[in-house]
Amino acid sequence: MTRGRGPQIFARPVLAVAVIAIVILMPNILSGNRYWLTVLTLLAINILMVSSLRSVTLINEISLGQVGFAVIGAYTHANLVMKVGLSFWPAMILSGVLAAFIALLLGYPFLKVKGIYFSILTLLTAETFRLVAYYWKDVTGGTLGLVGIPAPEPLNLFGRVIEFKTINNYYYIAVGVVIIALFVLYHFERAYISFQWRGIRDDSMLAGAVGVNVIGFKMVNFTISAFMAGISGALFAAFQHNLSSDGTSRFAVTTSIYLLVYMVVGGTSRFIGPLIGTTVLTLVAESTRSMAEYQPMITGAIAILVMIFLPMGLAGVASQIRGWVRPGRRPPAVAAPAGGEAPRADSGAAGDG
Amino acid sequence: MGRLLEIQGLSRNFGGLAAVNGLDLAVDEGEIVGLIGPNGAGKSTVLNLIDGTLKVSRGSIVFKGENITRFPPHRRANRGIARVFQKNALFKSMTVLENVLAGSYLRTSHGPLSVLVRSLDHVRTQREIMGRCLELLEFVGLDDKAGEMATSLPHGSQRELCVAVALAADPTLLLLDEPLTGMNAEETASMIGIIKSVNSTRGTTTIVVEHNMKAVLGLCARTVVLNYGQKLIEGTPRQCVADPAVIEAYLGTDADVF
Repeated sequence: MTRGRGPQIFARPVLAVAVIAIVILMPNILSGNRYWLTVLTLLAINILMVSSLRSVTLINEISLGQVGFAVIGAYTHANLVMKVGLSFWPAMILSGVLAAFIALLLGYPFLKVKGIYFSILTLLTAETFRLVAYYWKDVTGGTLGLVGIPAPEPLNLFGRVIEFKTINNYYYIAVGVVIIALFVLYHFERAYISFQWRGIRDDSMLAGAVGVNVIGFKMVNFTISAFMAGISGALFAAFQHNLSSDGTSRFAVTTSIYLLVYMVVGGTSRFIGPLIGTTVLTLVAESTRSMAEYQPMITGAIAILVMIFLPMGLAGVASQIRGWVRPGRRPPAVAAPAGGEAPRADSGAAGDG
Repeated sequence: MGRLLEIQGLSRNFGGLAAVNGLDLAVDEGEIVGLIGPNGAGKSTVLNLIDGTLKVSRGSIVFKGENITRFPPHRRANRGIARVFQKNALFKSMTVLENVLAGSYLRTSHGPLSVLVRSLDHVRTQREIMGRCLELLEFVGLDDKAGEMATSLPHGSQRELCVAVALAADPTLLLLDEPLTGMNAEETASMIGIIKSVNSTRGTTTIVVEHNMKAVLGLCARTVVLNYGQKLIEGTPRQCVADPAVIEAYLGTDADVF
């Protein structure tokens, strides 16, 4: 569009390739350090959760129910693998599909309300799913939880068998799935459909008046994000090998709040936001593990500082600095408060095809 | 000229308040109808009921011979009803041109699923639409601002852009809610010119809610006066303005004043 973006066009793929290379080589870099690989695997799963949460902000809503869809994904995966005997991959996809299907059913009534009401509905629904999981003994093991969820089957690659029982190799599966999922989410954000989503986010009344099926597009958005949350739940189940849904487990309300903090700290205006926010806060949490009781405070302090000094989040640091250095040039995210990258993508899609 | 819009017994209640109460209104193709009345008479509510922003409590709306009373807004837009809201409703994260492109949404796709499986002739259609949108911007005099952010425009230009967005889908019926509010004399004249020329060149039927009586006199051949959600009188603008009941509705009776 109007602003020159020459070097960045090349910088981006190079950066992406570099990051992916580092991610792939990580087990070698860490020389198989189990502890850090566990942290990184969980980080990847969390990034997918936060990205799925952020994709709902494209329709100007905040979902606190992503954890609920992760519950569905996790237990569906566990049951399909342990009781039905499906292998890892189809079970994972079906877990996402079931979460998406439930989101589709809930989507119509939920998305009829907006703002804080939507957030409350999703939060309570997530908690309801957790409680159902906590008490539905036959399916979820009830208060005892499910134990012994198998790792993905060994892969026979030209006679060389690759086992996924160790965290070393499961890391690759989790990271691979997350990268593919992020790629899909990114595609949606850049595709023509985001034109409608942005229209709804900017002014849903006007969007309806120009013929956008507001509730329909919102439901598509919510369903896609629930699918991703379901996939991340399945990844978590196979990673952890056991599931529990009591009030202190991963599926509790606190997780929803943390996901929200990750998203805000990273910044909602850019796709990269959740990756940065989740990574930074996870690393901070790991490096301060010796003072575990202060961790919520540290996270909170970081969140407050980011909100005051970097309203665009950590992902917006570069454009914010550019704004300070050259005040004449407005940082792009000010013009496009949520979705700084999307406008250019859309003008391209709508303009040049 | 055929009948385009037929409204019968239209009512809308907000709790105990009947904002619109048993309104009958018929609009022929190619007309510019003025909808006037004192504040709170229910004019905007009528527009909201016609474009589907609000749900109808009672009564029926027939558009092009089809009963659209229960249609959601996007289906009415699909049938050819466009709306300019009272506030400057624009897509604030988009440029001027993108706003018009968004307005021409109806020409590009039809639903969430058709967007997911984009057709192959997408590129060609996009070129066509782009050309049409630029023409439209030229028509309202904003072609030199196409790349600017919509919200950075001054009020009058934003208003013109709102009209361009509404026209982008090539509507049969255009609903204008106070298009002249907050405009200076020059902008007012330009907007009146736009509305008239849309009507004469495209044959777009228009219903306009407006307080500027001079403009209404210049624009509309027929006006409908609303008061307390009911039709007070219908006729030429001059008849309406001179009617004692209308004067009373606007100014109140002596007893009200003193």
